[in-house]
Amino acid sequence: MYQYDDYDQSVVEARSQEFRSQVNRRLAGTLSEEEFKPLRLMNGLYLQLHAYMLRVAIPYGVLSANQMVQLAAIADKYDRGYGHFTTRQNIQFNWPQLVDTPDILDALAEVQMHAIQTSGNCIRNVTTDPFAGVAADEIVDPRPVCELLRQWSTFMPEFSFLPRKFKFAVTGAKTDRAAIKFHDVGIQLKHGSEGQVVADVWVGGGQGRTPRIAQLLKADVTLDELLPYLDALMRVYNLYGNRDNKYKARIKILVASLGLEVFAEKVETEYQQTDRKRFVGVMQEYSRIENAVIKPTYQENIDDTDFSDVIKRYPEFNRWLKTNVFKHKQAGYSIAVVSLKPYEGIPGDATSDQMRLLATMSETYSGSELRVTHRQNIVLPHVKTQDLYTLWETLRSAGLATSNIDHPSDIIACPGLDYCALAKARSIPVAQEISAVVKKTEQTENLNGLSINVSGCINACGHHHVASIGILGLEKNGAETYQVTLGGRNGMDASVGKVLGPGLSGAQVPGTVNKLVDTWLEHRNKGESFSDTYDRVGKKIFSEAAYASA
Amino acid sequence: MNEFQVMASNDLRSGRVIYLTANGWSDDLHTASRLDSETALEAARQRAELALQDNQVIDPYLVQVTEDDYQPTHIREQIRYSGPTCLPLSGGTETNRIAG
Repeated sequence: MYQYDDYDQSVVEARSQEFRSQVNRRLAGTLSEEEFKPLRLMNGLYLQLHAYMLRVAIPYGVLSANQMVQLAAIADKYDRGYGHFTTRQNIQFNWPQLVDTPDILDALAEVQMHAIQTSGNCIRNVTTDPFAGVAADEIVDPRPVCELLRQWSTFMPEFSFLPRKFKFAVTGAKTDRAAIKFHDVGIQLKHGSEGQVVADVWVGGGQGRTPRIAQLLKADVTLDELLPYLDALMRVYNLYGNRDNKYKARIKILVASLGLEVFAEKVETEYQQTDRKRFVGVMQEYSRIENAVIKPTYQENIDDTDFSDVIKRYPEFNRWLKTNVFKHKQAGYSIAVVSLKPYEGIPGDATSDQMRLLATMSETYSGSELRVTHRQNIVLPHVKTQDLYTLWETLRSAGLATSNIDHPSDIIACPGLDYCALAKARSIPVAQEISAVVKKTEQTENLNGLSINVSGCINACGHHHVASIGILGLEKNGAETYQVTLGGRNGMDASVGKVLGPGLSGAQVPGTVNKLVDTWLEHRNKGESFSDTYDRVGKKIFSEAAYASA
Repeated sequence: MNEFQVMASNDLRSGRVIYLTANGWSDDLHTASRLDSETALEAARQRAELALQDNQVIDPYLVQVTEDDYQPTHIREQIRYSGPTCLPLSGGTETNRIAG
């Protein structure tokens, strides 16, 4: 992973000192709440339903073992012994006190972490493929570009007060595991005609109340021109983005209103006028970052691993191998995904003990590195295949060996009305009950290809639009109600789910999901995903099943 | 069902949810001042404004409460008072169930 140099370290330490001063002034009354609020938000500190919430940045989802241990220590000392991993590959603490937050930021800075730009109308934490650098289908490692974007966008005055928040995602693999088409800007890295690294820039994607799939703005941007081009794109957004209505302020609305062609022309004009002197040295920095990304030393010529005896004794291990282990680019190694979705558990939550165990597992088996996925799970990216059984045994003893990655119970859920001040309905209890009802089917049928996501309001933090079965919590006449959408996808074949029918009560949702799963099993062709079946057979079959006796 | 209002807020230092009482602020809703007249409401607004200016609280607002069980009428405020309805730990089966 990327290692901070002295400059990086001094930046986070200075930021922490600055925030301590701001908190002290707020407590002393020399800053009003109106003055303090934008300052705390720029340091990831929200006021939520019950308490303050601190969102800590995990740049492009990469964590070291000692960072995970520090997060566990923060959870114990300043929070309630757990943390919540988010869809932006970050972690949130739900119960910090304002008076403790400067100490928390100091503790984060000790391990090269911070909460900078995890809120506010700025460029947020850049996300990427959680299998970056290790995926068997990877073309270009996206991490150096992510780090370049992080450095370019951090504290950039011109982009600190954008019309709205702005989210980048980067992928360099054939399979899009970063949902780039649902970001303000998605970057797809690949090789150009002469073998050089180039980027396709997608723009105008997003979820929320107006879901949009990103469109290709410019193909084959060379690496040395990527930042000048993105800089121009941001300037056009900053200039033309709607600042009067926050619901129309995201770049997806601007692109839709201008039309892609006009938007592209404006970016091109700005790009041609961009002062290149500001970007001298970008490629040297890119090379420096590539070298600063410490890569594990892989052992060569590892013998093939034969798990046939173990599998006979432990069929659960076999299932875990099939669902939670992915192909590594290095022979003899595997990518192991640790599910933070135990049946009936809270999606994305980890206790401090679990965090420490994951840190130990990463030290023992994965080069002291972990990744956070946008599906709210944890990746151990460099596991020797021969170590998988021992790893699984240890994870199982800690309740961390649920075999459900990319299966229905691998549910993305936002904090919802249990924590969030914006939510209209609960998400977590709905997700918990859905996972309870799909458990049995999931363990007897192959349900790979069916995703379920739950959001507690139209802001869609639970990514319901892009799930095979999306659940959206709303409020109607003072009560929670849930809308079901079907047919979403978040890969390169992105699609937005369509509303199934009338809203349901929370108690009706799990049973309805079960009926939808059964309907899919009845009608699917071999190897067909839920959304492909839905597109082929149409809404009526699913609607009739869902509302048969609801 | 008879209802009245209470003044809710968050403590500036800790962020915890608190309610205006006869003697100050408390995290126990049952000790909150019952605001069932215009006079009581106006007095509560003035005390909340003073607490804001004195940097004790953030974002005070009125919450509707039922007479019978002294619970907020809206689910959002019920959860805000009682805490998350899901267990704040991974795993387990003792999850609160969603009411029909």
